[in-house]
Amino acid sequence: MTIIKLAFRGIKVGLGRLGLTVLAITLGVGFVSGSFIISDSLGKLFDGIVSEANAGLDARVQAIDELSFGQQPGVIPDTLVDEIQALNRVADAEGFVVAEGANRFLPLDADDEPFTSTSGPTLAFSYQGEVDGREGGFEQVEGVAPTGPGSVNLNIEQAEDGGFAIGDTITFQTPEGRRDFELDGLVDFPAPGVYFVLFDLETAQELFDKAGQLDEIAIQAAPGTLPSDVLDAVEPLLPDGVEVIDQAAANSADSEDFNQIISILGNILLAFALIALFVSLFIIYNTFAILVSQRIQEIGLLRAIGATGAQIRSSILIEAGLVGALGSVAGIGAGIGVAALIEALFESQGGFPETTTVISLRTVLIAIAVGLLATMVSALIPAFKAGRISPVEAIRQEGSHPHRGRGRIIAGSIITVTGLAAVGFGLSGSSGVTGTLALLGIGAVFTFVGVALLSGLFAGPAVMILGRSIPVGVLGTISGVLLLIGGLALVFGGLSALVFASGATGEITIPGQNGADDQVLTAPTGAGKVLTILLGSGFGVLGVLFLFSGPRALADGVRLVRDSFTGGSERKMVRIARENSARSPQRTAATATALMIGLALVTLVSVLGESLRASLSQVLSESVGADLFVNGEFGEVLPDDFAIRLSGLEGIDDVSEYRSADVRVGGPNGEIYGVDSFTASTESRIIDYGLDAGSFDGVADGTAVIVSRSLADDRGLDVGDRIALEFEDLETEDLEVAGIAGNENFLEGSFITDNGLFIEHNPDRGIESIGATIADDVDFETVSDAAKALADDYAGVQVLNNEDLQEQLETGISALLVLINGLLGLALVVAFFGVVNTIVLSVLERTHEIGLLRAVGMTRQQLMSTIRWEAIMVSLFGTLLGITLGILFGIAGVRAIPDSVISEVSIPWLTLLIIVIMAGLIGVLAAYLPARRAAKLNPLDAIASL
Amino acid sequence: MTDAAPTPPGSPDPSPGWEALDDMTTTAPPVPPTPGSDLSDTIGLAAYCRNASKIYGQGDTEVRALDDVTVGFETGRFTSIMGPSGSGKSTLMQCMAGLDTFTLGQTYVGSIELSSLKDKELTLLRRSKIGFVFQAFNLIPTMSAEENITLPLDLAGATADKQWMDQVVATVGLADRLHHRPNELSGGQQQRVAVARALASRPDIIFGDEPTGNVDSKAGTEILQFMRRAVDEFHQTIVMVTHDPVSASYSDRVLFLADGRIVDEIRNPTEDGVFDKMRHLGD
Repeated sequence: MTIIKLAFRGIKVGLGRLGLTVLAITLGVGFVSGSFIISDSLGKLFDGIVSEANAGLDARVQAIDELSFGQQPGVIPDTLVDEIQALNRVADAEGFVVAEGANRFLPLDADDEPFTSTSGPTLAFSYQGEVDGREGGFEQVEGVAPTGPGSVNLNIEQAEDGGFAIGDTITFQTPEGRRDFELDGLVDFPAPGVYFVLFDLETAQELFDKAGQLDEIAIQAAPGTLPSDVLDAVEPLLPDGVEVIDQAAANSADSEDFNQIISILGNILLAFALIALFVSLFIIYNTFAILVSQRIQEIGLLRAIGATGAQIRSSILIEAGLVGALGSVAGIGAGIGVAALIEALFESQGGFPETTTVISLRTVLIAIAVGLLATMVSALIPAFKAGRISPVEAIRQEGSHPHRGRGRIIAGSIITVTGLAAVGFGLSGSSGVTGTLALLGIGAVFTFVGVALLSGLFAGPAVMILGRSIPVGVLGTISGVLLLIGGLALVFGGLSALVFASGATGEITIPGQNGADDQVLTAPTGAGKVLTILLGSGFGVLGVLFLFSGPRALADGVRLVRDSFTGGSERKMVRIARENSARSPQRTAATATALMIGLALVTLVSVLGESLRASLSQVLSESVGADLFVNGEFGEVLPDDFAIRLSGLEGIDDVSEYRSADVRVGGPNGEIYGVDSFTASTESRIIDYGLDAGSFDGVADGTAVIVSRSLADDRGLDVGDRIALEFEDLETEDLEVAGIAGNENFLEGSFITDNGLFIEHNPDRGIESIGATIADDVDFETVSDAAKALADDYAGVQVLNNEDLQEQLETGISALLVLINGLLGLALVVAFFGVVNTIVLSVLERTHEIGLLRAVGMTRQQLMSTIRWEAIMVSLFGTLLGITLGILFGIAGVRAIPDSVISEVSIPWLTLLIIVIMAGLIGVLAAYLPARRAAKLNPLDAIASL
Repeated sequence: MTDAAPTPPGSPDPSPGWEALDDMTTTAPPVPPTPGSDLSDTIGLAAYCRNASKIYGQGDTEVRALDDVTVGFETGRFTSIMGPSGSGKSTLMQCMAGLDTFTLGQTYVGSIELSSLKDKELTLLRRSKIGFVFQAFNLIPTMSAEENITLPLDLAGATADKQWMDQVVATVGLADRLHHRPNELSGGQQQRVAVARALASRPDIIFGDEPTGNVDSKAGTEILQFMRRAVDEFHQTIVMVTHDPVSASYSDRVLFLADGRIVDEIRNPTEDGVFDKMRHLGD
């Protein structure tokens, strides 16, 4: 009991000092529980939508979608509906078709441009409403269902956004060209951002190129009939490759894809949450290590009066546990809050049905367990140290000096090497996706911990070197300027958001860029308003903090740079700061490590992104001869006549269609490889095959294949060898290996054939993309524009030239980097609190010294300046460690990723420079409050604090 | 002002420098009356306070740590303040040194009145006009002895007067230990470094709060001898709080405090004389 009392007392005394630690745990646990809550709630939401849509359905006929090699997908003839309808056990059956791909049928707006959703695809279906009492499907909110060949329904969201009204004649862009339809009705379906175009069944079958076929048949059982009896009755009527399933199976089939996405999303969020939590381990460790060293005399006294080492240890661990519990509970609260806010925001956007936040027992248990475990594990070393404090330490005046044990070096080295080995082994890719990820994760964790242990050894000297006047002075100056500018921007943004949320500005019209429509923003209501106000105030507060700390940092920086030349007093402040951070190298190291982890990952991601960008642009400029690329907007297959029309354009030199499928080598149980097929695959004009050996002889005739280098090595194939390829029609061709393609950017591990041979065996495989070259003697832009104009006749087809493609790739990579770095931001925020925490605690620890310095003439401004320099140095150390490790990981990553994806290492120097400058910002901001607090210390009280 | 405190050249400090501080000084009478002593022979006062009280709490809980004290410290003299625990001797010293403020009354260091000064001006004053020697933990552990000695000058961005520094260091007898850190020095050596630091900026007055309280008697004697030499040879002014009659006997004058008031004083004290007074302090 006494131990518990001691632990509680410790917390009460140290509550102020533990505040930031609790906050760090709260953030980590909040993110962990938030990821669970969000994925659970989204899952429940979607299950709700699916089961509502399938509410009246007792059974469903559909094609089997998992096909084995060579198996043809089943076709449902529309005559099957009548057969099923005729069954006694069936009350009703209705057929349904879906257009393959998205954006195939798009209404044209007033400017004759296809009108699409900004946040989702436009899907085309046959109409399936509330028929014969069957619920689900689309809810008819206005007008009537499509009545015939010239009639269409849209969903209400699309009609409102696009300004379409019932009775309008709307021209649609279809794969077969333009067609007019009359808008006869509007429907509603709970899928925000998604547009629906609905035709009646017959029209849809014709438009979707599915005459006489159905994609699904929905069946309602006759009253009093069990669904299983319906299945039994329908089963015998089904053709090959077609199955009938009951409602539960239909529900899970419908939600399967979505649940998979949710679970991936949840796991990604969880991964980033765990990174943040991992970072907080170092902060917790630091806090307890400092608390123990501050309490050495107290602990010594307790030992002197009879407390055992084990009791001391337990009291520290219990204290950690209590702090962990507090942080975890607060974290769960934060997680619920954030999840509820996000959901409220969805709801206020409309379209989403009302959701309830799902807080499962699992979420609560995991969150608490994770929070408790994190705290107690990180407090373990300090607790053991506390347990070893001897009674005489109570009488000793000076705190014991940290000894750099050989154990630390050995442990640190072993852990680092183990970590790097795990990363290396993981990168070798011999352990499957899960194994690789696990190895990489564990390896990274080990490396971080090992470096944290080792960096304590060189933190002192490193800070001495890094903390030279001029570099930190310049960093401080830049940070000051940026904080001033950023502060002004944030305050302005925050105030604007608040004014906007108050509704005082009414509507704001943002002029559309590049000819896009103007966007009109109306003052938000409900959750949106709350969020806007929260964001606005947050920006404002942050801005004020920036504005307060910016000028001081700027003044200090300028003074330091100047004093470095004139020998003024600011150099002394830097000296003092440097000595202070070098004094507790282990603490500096742990603080820096917290920052290092986040920044190493940011650097890694940036290096990978930059390398990917560089590799892709190299592929585009070197390996690909094509000037124009034709793709489906959502990856759909391309219209059959497009290549022909494209090659008919003036100035187009060469056109190649690309198709792909699987081939099997070695009979029924043989191995399956990819097969890539091109038109005119006899020359390196469209794509640079980089033939290592052999020639194209016989490829165009369909008597020979090209084999990619890796596949050739894998199977031991050489030019002139013969190989039997079994195509998906289960026909086998005996082909000669004509050449080996060394350029694997597109072709890794596959066979390359000519389209002629391919189409013979895969008549149903569509064209995936088309490449074309433009003649040298014509104007590139003119031809490129003409090709793009050609695509306007087809929905969902896009033509990109080399430049567009590069731009598109770069936009995609940038967006991904922004997303990942945004998620890593949380780890950085936690690390930021770690820097604040360390500075607060080290100021507390030096109270007496600060009093002395103030007594002998250090001004408040000088004192704040030393604290600021110290924070900047610690951040800079962590940042440079992070960047170094990040670059190493990045290079290893690039080496491990197949060359077909990333072939060369490219270091984003500009990004790294920005990260270094960020270290300055983090330091300046982290020092602000502790420095102010220190400056307020009364010198006399500080001296008396002995 | 023989020794105008240096202001860093081109310092961006917007606040008034030392010269401005002088201008702000309220007019002060050159020599205030000091009770219990005839000051006609004094050369002047380095610091003094008039009708100074330090009051903690209010109403029923009011405690007067110092009660209407008027006292001056002569330039070029070594003064000790003695008194039982709780007599207010440390409070008096701290307030005189600009580390704390009186609740009532005026305090002067040189011709500068302290009660009207803001923190920054007080700090600059301490840096240039006042030296300190505390009982323990006088030194910044991360700095060498030499750095500790020049710390007030470094904080001011001033360069040390080489000749003066050499003289001080030689007198302290630490020339060979200048590059050692405090934890490599003995307690006595540490205190001598602290005294050297107090002397480094040639302050108007040096305050010591039991400077020998934490060292053995041999080291204590060394420190006291050194302080004595600082007064005799360098014409420094030292005020020391102590409860040790032996230490007090090194000074020119001993003031006795009890219950917040100055109750007695001895000039040119001897050990026995101080003992005697101490014994009868309560009478």
